Amino acid sequence: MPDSTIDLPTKRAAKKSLIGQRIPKLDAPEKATGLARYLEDIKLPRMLYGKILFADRPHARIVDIDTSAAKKIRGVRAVLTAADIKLVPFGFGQDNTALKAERVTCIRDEVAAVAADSPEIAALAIRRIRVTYEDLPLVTSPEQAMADGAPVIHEKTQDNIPFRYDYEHGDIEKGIQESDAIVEDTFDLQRMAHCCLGTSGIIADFDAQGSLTLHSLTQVPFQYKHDIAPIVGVPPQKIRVIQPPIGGGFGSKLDIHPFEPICVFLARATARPVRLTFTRQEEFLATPTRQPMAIHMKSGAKKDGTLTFRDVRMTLDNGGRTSWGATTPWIMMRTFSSLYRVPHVRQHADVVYTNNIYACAFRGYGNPQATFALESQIELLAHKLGHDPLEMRLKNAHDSRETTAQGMFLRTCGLKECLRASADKAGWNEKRNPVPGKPVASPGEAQRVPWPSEAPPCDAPKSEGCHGQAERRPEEPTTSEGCHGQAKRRPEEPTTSKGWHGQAKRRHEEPTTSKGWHGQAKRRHEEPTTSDGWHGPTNRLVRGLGMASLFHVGGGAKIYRSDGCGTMLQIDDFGTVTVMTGASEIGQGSDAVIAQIVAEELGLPLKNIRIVNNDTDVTPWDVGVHASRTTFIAGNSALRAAREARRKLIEAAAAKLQRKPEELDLSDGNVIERATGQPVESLGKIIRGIHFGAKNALVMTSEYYEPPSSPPDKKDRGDISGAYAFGTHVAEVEVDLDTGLVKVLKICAAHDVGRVINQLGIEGQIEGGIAQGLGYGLTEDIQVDAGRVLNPSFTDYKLITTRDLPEMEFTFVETRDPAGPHGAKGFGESPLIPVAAAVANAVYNATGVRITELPLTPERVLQKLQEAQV
Amino acid sequence: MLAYHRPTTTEEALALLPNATGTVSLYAGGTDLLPRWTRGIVPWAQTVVDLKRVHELRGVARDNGEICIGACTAMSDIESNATIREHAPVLAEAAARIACSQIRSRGTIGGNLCNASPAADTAVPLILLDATLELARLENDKVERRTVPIVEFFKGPGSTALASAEILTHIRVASRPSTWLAKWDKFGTRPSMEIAVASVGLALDLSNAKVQDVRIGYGSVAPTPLRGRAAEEVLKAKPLTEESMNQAVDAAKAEISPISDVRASESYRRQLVGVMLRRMLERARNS
Ligand SMILES: Cc1cc2nc3c(=O)[nH]c(=O)nc-3n(C[C@H](O)[C@H](O)[C@H](O)COP(=O)(O)OP(=O)(O)OC[C@H]3O[C@@H](n4cnc5c(N)ncnc54)[C@H](O)[C@@H]3O)c2cc1C
Repeated sequence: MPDSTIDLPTKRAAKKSLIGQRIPKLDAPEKATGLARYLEDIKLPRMLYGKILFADRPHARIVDIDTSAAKKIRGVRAVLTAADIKLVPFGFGQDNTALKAERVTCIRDEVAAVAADSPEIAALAIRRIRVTYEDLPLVTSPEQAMADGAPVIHEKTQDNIPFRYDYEHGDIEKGIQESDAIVEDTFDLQRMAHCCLGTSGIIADFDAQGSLTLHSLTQVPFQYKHDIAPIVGVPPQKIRVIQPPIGGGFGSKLDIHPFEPICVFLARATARPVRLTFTRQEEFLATPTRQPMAIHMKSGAKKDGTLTFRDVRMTLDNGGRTSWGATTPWIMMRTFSSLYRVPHVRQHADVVYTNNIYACAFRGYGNPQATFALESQIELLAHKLGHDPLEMRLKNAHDSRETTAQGMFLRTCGLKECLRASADKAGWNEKRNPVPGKPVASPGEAQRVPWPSEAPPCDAPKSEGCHGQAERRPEEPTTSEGCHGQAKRRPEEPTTSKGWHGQAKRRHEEPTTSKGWHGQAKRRHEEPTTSDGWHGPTNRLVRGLGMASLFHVGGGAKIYRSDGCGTMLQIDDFGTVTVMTGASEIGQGSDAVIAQIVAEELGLPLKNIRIVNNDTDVTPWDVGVHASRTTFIAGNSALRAAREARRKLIEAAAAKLQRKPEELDLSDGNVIERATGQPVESLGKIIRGIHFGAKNALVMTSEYYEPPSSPPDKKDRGDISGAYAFGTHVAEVEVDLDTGLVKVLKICAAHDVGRVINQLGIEGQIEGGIAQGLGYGLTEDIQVDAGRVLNPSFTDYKLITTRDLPEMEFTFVETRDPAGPHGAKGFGESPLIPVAAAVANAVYNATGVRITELPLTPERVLQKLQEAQV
Repeated sequence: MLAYHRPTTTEEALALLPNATGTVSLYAGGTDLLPRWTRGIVPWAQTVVDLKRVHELRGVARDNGEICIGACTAMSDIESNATIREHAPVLAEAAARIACSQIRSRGTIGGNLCNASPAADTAVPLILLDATLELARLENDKVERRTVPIVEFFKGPGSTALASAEILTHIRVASRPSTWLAKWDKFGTRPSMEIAVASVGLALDLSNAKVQDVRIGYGSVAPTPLRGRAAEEVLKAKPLTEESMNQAVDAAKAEISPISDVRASESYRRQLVGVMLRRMLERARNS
């Protein structure tokens, strides 16, 4: 066992624990059957439909807006422009208004809005609004924005740089002098869209007293109430936020977006409820993305592999307005300073206005970008100094109970275990090329299959006859067939096609020894059913292995004065527990985790637990779902509320049964004798005894949990989180040297999660994180030209689909953080963070070519290979 | 939409077209039409004539040594049809590579061709197979039919040889000797659900040690799916040698006219066509 492991008391070891089980999300039946009532399913009486006119000009002065034709359409109930509403600046940079009055600074700027009897009428009315613009000089890149004499985008920011972030520890000059090897690169990172399955939307509904109910998809309901109040001119105490099931957040719902106050203005103007939802195209055009940025990084190491310094200058393309996303450098600096031990670190970031669409928070909050740059350079330094990159990382990794140079106290740190476990699982020593670009063995030990390939990849009935039959040569792989149309397969063969070449099938063997403290899960995936007919002959396919680690907050992030979460818990006479939690559920699975924690504490079956988590009139305050904080903070809050209820129940039982409280426990809906496990009384009786007995009391408890963290000081140092998450991914790739196609064969992911609470949930998070990370690394890119989005649809914005997923293997490093609920740390963002970096490192290992831009599209990879003459 | 019709015969369908209210659209699987309508790329048609119930237009039949495919046959049926898998497997293979099973069970081969996208995945296999298309229109209340070779059907992106009020009814391909090998492949920007950045088809007979009956086709690299006559010419009646393969690749790169767009650049598409054709030729030679 590693010294980092802090054992929890085994006080109730005999009882079957719910912790670590595989528990389906509580709302899974609703979602799987289509019964979940999403925003689009909610139709209030007299409800109207809102729609927005977007500028469609990246930078222009609004000369005139003519709404007369739109207003004449039958069924149109309101047409609003900036002239019709009180304009209150909002947003992280206070540079946004609901509708724009004089100037538009990006194509998605909201210019007018309509409420009508049907969505079709609203759409028609929008088309009838005539806006006269006078185009202004366009700023399409941060370089252009920072050049002398560049057009000013917002008057109050004459240099076009609304935010700067600086961080420093140690002395860079000293670090440079101490270095035996130094590398310097610029990393260019693209825009990525959240692609929530549910598009954005809201319903605004005033009652007769002027109170406002918002059916909103926000991730931060309490902050939201506070922030939207001044914009719409309703006091926060008269606002109620109800969250219907949310079809994904990933950070996109941290901000107030202009469509939200716009919908409120439409509801006020018509005195009717208004629903406003986005089409997928609007979702692509008018919701923010992950920050595109250029990271210039220089770092060094000593001969023995000790890291010496890291000097970072970054330029972020903020777009035409500012959201919370502008603060990502604040998280990125933590990775630069604390993923590994580095004595001298400096970061300077400029967040720059352009006339591009703007960026916001996105799972990882800048960390995937930071990790891509940092982990690329670790690999380069290791190569320069002749070290195994795994050993080099181990040498510089932190240990538990260390405080990082930026002042973050690592109560537990399982990074070394993650590094070793993922490397072991991936076959690091056998499969990695010791020298990048010099493959030890060519892939697919078997010969590639000659002409032609096999039957179409479908589960269609197999045809009988065939022409052009070729004898299958004994050494040919069994997955390919020698003739047209014929689908003769051996029984054990998968039905999926391998295309032209029978790729040798690799399956990872179960390890024979498994370390006791590793929770372990394995995923196997069938090869995608598409054929890979363009794949080349063996000598043009090269394989490689690459790794990348991550560091992220795992116990909240103290950006407000409180990073807490409230819980109210009530047990009815029948033993049903209602948990009212401030924690929002956006699909991440907090419902199941909180129910598990409460059920475990009260010895009740899961079905007795109800979670209420979506109504600010009922639920207590919470910061919001962000910073991977919910399991840790809402979990701790629920745990404490449940513990208090448990204490009350056991005390009442002890009094009734004339036993000592220490002798009793709760299990399976009963009070049991701790020593023997024998039930001594049903819990229902105890509860009703409290309610109807001498005391006449209800079993109700409440808790407001504040994590043991502190806000950063003026130099941005401090222990900002209650716990810190670590992890390592190793990717195995195959690169086609003629087409540039990168195929990810396998990802081995090891994560320090503190402790697994819901194994099903956490596996889902890793799978989703890997899919999203592969999208970031390989295919996803919002292409913007002259301020306009070129690919606002799933046709040309390529997500990774289920069928594209590689084989995945997971290891859970359970360091049992003393501050976490049952030892758990936050985890939601972690699995996305290192994926692109690991894949790029694997491509480097396979080809010897370092690519410093994402995504690694075949075209980009081929171009870089050709530049490097591979 | 003002009117929706669901005729059951070709004649009935054709008769609806001249008298329809406003803009008319023939509608098969709708997998090309609906996304375009709902995204507002083109306005909704005012009259929709749904062809799916026209019996004549569905299914696959053998006819005098030819395979006759109804225009409204779904991709999933093409993919699984025993006759096609046996006698024109390259077409089944292409059908199976389109989109996902949901789209394949709605989208039709006729829609794929009439939509006339340079990236239509069944077009190049049908070029290899020398397909002929049967078109029908109404003249003096009588159904008139004509045939058009596939290479003459495509006129440009979204544009075909169909006259107004004309329907594609069938696609015919001839059976080939068993020594004739045909292969088609596409390259997208993601392994699954890919729209071709470039596609290449090659068919030939090498049974006499010389290239015979060669057909080459390209998709997504010209305004229409394209037959590679120049590359074919280089290979014809010669053994497949290093030199002839190189020349064919050069000819292929010269006869296509790709564009740069959001999916790929012109030069990358050219390189891809070269690599794909070269690999197909090598495998043909090694087989
Ligand atoms: C998610 C998605 C993925 C896709 N992926 C692919 C892909 O990988 N490869 C590919 O090639 N395509 C792809 N497509 C496009 C589309 O599915 C195919 O082109 C399909 O074959 C179109 O057939 P349909 O029956 O749906 O056509 P429809 O949409 O019904 O019609 C298309 C056009 O053809 C006309 N038309 C249809 N039938 C006839 C007829 N008999 N006579 C005259 N005109 C007619 C219609 O008026 C219309 O103009 C994809 C589409 C989607 C939505």
